[in-house]
Amino acid sequence: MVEVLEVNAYVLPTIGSYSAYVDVDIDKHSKRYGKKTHGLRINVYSPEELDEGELARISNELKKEWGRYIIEREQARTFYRWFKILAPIEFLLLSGSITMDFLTITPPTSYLRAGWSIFFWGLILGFTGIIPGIRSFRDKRREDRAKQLLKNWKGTEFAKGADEEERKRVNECRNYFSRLDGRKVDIYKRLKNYSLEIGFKPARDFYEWKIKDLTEEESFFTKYLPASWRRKMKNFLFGVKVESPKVVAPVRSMDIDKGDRDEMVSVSSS
Amino acid sequence: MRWLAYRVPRKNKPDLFYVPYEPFTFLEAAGRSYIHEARKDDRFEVQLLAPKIEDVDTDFLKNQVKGGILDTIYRDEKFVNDMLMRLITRYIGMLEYFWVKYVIPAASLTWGIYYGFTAGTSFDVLFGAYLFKGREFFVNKIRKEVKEYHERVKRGIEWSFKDLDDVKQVEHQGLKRLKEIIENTEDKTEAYIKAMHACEELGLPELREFYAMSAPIQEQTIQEPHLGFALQNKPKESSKREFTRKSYSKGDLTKDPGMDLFDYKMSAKCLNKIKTFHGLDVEVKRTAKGMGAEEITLFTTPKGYDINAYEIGNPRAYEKILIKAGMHGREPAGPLAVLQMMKSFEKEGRCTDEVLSNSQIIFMPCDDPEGFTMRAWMAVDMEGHEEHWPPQERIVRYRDTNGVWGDGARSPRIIAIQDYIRKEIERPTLGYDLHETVGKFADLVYKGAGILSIEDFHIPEETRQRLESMYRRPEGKIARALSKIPFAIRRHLPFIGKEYAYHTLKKIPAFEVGEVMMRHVRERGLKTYRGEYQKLLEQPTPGLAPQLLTFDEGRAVDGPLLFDLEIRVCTAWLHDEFETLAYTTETFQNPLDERVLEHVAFVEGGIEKKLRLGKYAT
Repeated sequence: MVEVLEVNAYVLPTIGSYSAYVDVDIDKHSKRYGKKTHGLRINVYSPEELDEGELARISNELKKEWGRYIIEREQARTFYRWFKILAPIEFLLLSGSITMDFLTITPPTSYLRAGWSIFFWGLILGFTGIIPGIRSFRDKRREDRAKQLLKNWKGTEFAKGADEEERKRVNECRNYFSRLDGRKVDIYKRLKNYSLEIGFKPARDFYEWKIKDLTEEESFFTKYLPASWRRKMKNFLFGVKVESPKVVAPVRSMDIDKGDRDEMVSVSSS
Repeated sequence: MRWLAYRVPRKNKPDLFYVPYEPFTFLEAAGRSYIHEARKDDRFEVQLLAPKIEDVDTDFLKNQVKGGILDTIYRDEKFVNDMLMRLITRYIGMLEYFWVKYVIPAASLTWGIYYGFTAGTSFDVLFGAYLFKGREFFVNKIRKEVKEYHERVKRGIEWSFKDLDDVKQVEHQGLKRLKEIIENTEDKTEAYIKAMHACEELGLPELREFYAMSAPIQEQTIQEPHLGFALQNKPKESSKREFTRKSYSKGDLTKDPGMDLFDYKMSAKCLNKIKTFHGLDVEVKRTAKGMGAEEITLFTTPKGYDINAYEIGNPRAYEKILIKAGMHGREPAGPLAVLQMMKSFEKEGRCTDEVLSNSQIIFMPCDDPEGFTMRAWMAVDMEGHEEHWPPQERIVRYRDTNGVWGDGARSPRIIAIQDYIRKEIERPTLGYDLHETVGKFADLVYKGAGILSIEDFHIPEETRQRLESMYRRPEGKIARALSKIPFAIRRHLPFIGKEYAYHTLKKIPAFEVGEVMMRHVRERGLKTYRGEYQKLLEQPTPGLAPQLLTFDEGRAVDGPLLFDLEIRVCTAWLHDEFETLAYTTETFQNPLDERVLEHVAFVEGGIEKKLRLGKYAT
């Protein structure tokens, strides 16, 4: 019998279409349940009932994001497999050099020589070979955990969210959204604050992520293939930060005041 | 493993199997193939979202879907492969830096030999030799590993898709509603336009692209292959076109002491509702009446839409400011920004009166009404035939309508706009053409970047040539290595770097206007093109002359690539013919309101500076 774990999904207002946000973090989830064979039950809290197609999209989004996450993790690290051999060799060369300095030269010259070995060769070898090698060991754990989770995760099922409090909060968010106007980011900021007021943490996290996504000056290219020397070096040494993905699927607009949709998209000639 | 596909309704044709293709589809496919491979008991099925569940032969459907998925995944194989290789090889370059591989080893070997391998220098020799040759062994191993990985990912995807076990149809209410919209609308183009604009509200934003590409399909009438240019006679003399004018009486203005010239209050929800040219035009006309503008009809499109200009201010003033947008229908922020600027004149800000007394402003909100409605690009062939999304766009025959201004203009609407500017405005002194760079693949590179200004002011030929030489990819390893050295050293080298360009161009008086405009945008709390994006623009493109030459944060001039291809954009024509201080602006993927306001702030800064208003009075 496969154990079924429960997670919640919330349909939250966004401009244009609404968004179904699944409140689950792959890193935390894999840490706690990665080793168990389990299925997921997603309890959906929505102002209006979702149809089968929309639920299929949520489930698809979950798989898509989690699948992509392990590939991104893999690509941020796997190629360092040979670094694992390169790093100890370069480390040995460096230690050998420092030892030799003390064996063959007498102080104080030996101190100067060792300083030279550390600050010159140490920087070159350390920055290009040793540190990335150490990262290769460090990042492997997270990647393995995520992979294990995906192996042990046996499908998703949906259920209507039963918690009255949560259902009330979802509706309150929709009502509040219908009263808001202004710039997109400002609307999301106010929704975030409102979520905080009513103690709706998942909505707060969602809007916080949404604001960050809309305001940050970062693209896939600038993140992974930056042009500046400084950023390239940073990526090489410390790696690209692979963030645990947010699972968000678009669903139909559930605005209270939808206006006349046919009028809005009318294209009759002027 | 489960994959999602769509059964997309079409007009008078069977539904279409569609997998929306995104830049990351390959990564997602790789992730799923991993799951499929890791779980030995995994079944691979496709969930086909459909307007309604059809009774079909399962095996037949399965085979069609399998073929469709493989074709979609490998449609852009070259692009995806290049991207994947760039991603996974990005570390290797750092191990092989020129100075680590050659300069330091050479220096340490010389050092060691000079001191005769005595004492610690023996290790310098060893390190030098290791960096010179030994590391190559590891780098080659890593390269091999990268290749294997790449192959594994590619093959993995192929294998997993071939294992397709089942296709399950799932009803989606959004698709059902789309089908109804299409069935209830008689005209095919209109049906697809309605469907496209309804997609987002129905929770299917990924289908917008499909309908945007489908809508103009009926106007594509050219059937013959075109592998060359049509030979034309010399263009006739300028037309005797007369423009009709319509005046509106000015309404009552409300004072807004918090506003300089333009209004920055904006409703994202309302902005989101202006989806078609009709919607835009209604708002523009209502605003034109409110602000007492004069409406001039420049051109009527084959579908009966009017391309209008709206004039306000003092017609006898020396300063004539032209603000146009909507050349590319796929770039909605420009027309909406012009609308926002026009709306601002329904109120009276601190500078409104002075601006209207000392200048004439000409607004041209949208050059391509159908394109705006369909979110489509228009191109023109050398016979003046215009089409949206021309199927032969990549063949020499078609050109971007914005690339053929001046005497070489073939697009009838561009010729009409040129006639209007020549005859009625006579000499614009300040010009803006508002553009955007948005779309799935553009977002991959520019998502989140702020406004970029491409400027046309007089640059002496010698200086321009110098600039061009700086941004060409240096030939030879040493020159390339020198071009990568840190800024702190590079700035002292006279032949390379943005700083040289900045200081040289700063001596030209018009330079300051652009500088002020960018500062103005920042002061309004909006984004400008900077940081990593700026570095990206400065980076020489291998094998290509640069399209833009950057000389300051978020600012650039047209590069040699445009001259080489004889591409002359609107602002270049304005500058060449009237010596107009002209700016093409580009905004990138950000919320629509942010993009609109970036344009607005940029133009406001320029007008205030040019007319010496507000804080620029001295």
